[in-house]
Amino acid sequence: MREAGAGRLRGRWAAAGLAVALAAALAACGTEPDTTLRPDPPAVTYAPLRQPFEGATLFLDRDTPAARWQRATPGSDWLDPITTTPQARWVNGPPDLAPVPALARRAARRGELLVVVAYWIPDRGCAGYQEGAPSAAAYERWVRQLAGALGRTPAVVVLEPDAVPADCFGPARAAQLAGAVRILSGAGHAVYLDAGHSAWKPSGETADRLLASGVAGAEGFAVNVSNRQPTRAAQAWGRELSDLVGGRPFVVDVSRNGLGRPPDEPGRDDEWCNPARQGLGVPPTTRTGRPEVDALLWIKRPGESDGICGGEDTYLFSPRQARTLIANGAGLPAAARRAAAAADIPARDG
Amino acid sequence: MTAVVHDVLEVRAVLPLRRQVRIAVEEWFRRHRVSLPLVAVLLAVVGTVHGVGMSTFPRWVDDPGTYLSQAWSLRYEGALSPYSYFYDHAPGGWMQLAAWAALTGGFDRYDTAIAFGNECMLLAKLASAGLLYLLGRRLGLSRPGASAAVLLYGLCPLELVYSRWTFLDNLATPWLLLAFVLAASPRRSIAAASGAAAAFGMAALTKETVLLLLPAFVWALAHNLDRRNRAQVIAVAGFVGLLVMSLYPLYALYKGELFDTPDRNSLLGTARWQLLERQSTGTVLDPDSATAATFTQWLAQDPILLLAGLAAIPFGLAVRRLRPIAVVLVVGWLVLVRGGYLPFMHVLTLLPWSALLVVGAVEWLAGNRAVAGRTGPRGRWWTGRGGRAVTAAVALAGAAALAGTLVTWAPELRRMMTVSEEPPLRSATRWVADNVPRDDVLVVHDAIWTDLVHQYGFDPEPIIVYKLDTDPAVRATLDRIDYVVLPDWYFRTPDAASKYPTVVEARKHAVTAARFGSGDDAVTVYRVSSRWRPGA
Repeated sequence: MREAGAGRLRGRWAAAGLAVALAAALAACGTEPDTTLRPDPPAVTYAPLRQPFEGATLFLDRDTPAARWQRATPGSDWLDPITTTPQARWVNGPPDLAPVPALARRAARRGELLVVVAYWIPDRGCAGYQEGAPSAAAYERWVRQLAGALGRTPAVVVLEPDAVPADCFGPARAAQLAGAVRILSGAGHAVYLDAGHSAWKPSGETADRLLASGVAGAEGFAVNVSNRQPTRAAQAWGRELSDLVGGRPFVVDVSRNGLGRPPDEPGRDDEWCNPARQGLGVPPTTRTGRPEVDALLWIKRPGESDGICGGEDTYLFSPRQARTLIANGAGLPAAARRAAAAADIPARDG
Repeated sequence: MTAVVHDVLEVRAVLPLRRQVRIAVEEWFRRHRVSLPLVAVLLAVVGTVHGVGMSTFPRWVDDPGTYLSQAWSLRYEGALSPYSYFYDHAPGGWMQLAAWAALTGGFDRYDTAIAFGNECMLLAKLASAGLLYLLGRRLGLSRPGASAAVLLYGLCPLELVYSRWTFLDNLATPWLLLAFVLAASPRRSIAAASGAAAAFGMAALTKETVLLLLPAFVWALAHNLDRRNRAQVIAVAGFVGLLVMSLYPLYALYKGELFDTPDRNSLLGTARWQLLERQSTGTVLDPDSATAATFTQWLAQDPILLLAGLAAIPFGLAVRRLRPIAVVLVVGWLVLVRGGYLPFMHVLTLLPWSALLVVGAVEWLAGNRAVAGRTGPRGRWWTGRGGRAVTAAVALAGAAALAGTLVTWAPELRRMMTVSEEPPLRSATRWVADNVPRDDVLVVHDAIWTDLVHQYGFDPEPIIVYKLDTDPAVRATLDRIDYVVLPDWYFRTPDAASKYPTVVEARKHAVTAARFGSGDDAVTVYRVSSRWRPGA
């Protein structure tokens, strides 16, 4: 009897063992990982590129404060490195719109590419609407007027320096910028949204902001406007940023970065403003040899003051500063630099 | 009488084994014919409340992902962790997860590892609830009392939140309860005591912090010693317990990783860090401490059971049979006061015992002789008519309090059972699976690692975010990061830049590719610039 019980028990153990083995085998043949990609439709659709700089000659503006000063000042040939170099025209508000149609016609007649800077975003200095357009609606009207003033010949518009990296950037500003991009692109112009520079906001945050500001409908973005980061650093930062915004190309402002960024000074946070040591950058070019870099431009006009700081008491053209920039100019002939260094600048009211 | 029983046993011994078993089973069922259906109903209620909605509430946090990735690694790679195992916890917990996964194909049955973890937690909860009933009965609670304890424990919203998360503590709880159940065995056999010691050892291997409760357990065991086999019980149970618990240091010793050596993971080195060097969260008595903040969060979730348990401690200490349980709670509360590092799931150590002790105190007040023993209040008077009136009154008040508590909890439980939006991390995982090539390098939150590897075959394996800056092996091979998938709160922690420097830096070079959810729980998928190199 015991034997029989034990035998039955053995049989049961065997059955149980079989069941466990079966379960283990079932468990072992697991599911294969699913590696198929089912990409979402792209969240961002990028406009086709216009490539405005391809084979273009940059427009040389003879009606700049520097040129006017040179014409009025005998013996100021030393200023040639600045006055014979194409630069952007800044449109900082409604009064600056008046000369734009003539300018655009002149550029069209000469077959040259006009670069303008639109700089009138509401709350431009992030100081509670003291600067810039008084409202979003006023800004939009102004942008439409600018598009009209530029006429039918395509121009390059560098849109709103500092607006994207500024601390007061938010959804409202993003919408204003995106609206401006739509209007200006729709009128046939190539818009480069200003992105800031390599020592300001990180590329990631800038990319998110640019996308919110409609960079997908713009031609690209601008780097280093009015700043002095070295071209290498500006391009490295720009290429990283470009990779994050669908490969949009960019332009770099090299007008005053010949000596690189001014050194940090403890206790000051306006070292960038009219620094004592600065020099012209390389001449502008549309042939950069890098696919993401559309052009190296002179966007900030060298010699024009950054503001009332660093020994300047004007926002206007400062011959002393122009002299410093040329004397330290990158890639200028030594004679040109010497001539500027030796130049005697007449007293302003003398 | 004794002789008769003796005879019956002898008669049984000659029966075929099959009949012996059947008789034993029938007897067991007969003995528990009231408790069995009662417990079945209780477990059904507790299990339903626990299980319904557990896939969408609470939000996904770090630890469950870590443990599940380690269980996955054990199951499929034969290693204790997909990274260098650094003795952060004893491995018993995820060994159990891995065993259950291996037996049942756990990682294949769900589309997320978290869901498998949820299943394990449900099973652990059911086991704990059943054992809590049993322990209650062994401590002398009435059936209604033991049931009340189970309901308090099983339906407390605070407990529900934490017991749904795949935490090691949830796996340690049934072992710990089993240890106390066996320690309170009425048979007082060597086997029961050894089993108790082994169960306690398992609890400690599951979550090493259980060792803090060793005094309470020893007390419970000592309480129930029989003069006749005391020496044997102490020797055998002590040996068994030590043997089980020593598996962990023996493993480390075998690997040459027991002692603290520089540049090498070691058990004692990590223990030193956990106990002494880990940044203190302060004492609960300091209102500005992180411990106090954690405590406030617990109370915000539900104060009833936690505070009632605290209030019941004096009663528990006064009553001989409840004393070991009270000691568990005393130790648990002392941890809050002590001022070291307090893990936020520590509340799991307090709640089951609180439920027992609260009901124990009520039954003692109601004059339950089995609980009270000779320490019953007001002595002989208790048995009189007045006593019966008091008993009835206290029982009625207790029942009313229980009903009131359950009614108070109901809305919160309902909310926890009916969250319908998918966890943002899950949505993000789907997006990544649909849009990201499998050979890209991902840095991800713990909770989705296993799914990306197991369900979607990412190879190289994604990097769990905190390993990026802590595991030398990861750092040595890291040459690019393509995507980062993390909840926003990761970057909002004040010391994020010093805790996760690499991923904070990576985010500076990354654009938002997709976003899911809202608020701090929102999850962002970042695409990192291909021009950026980590450590550059």
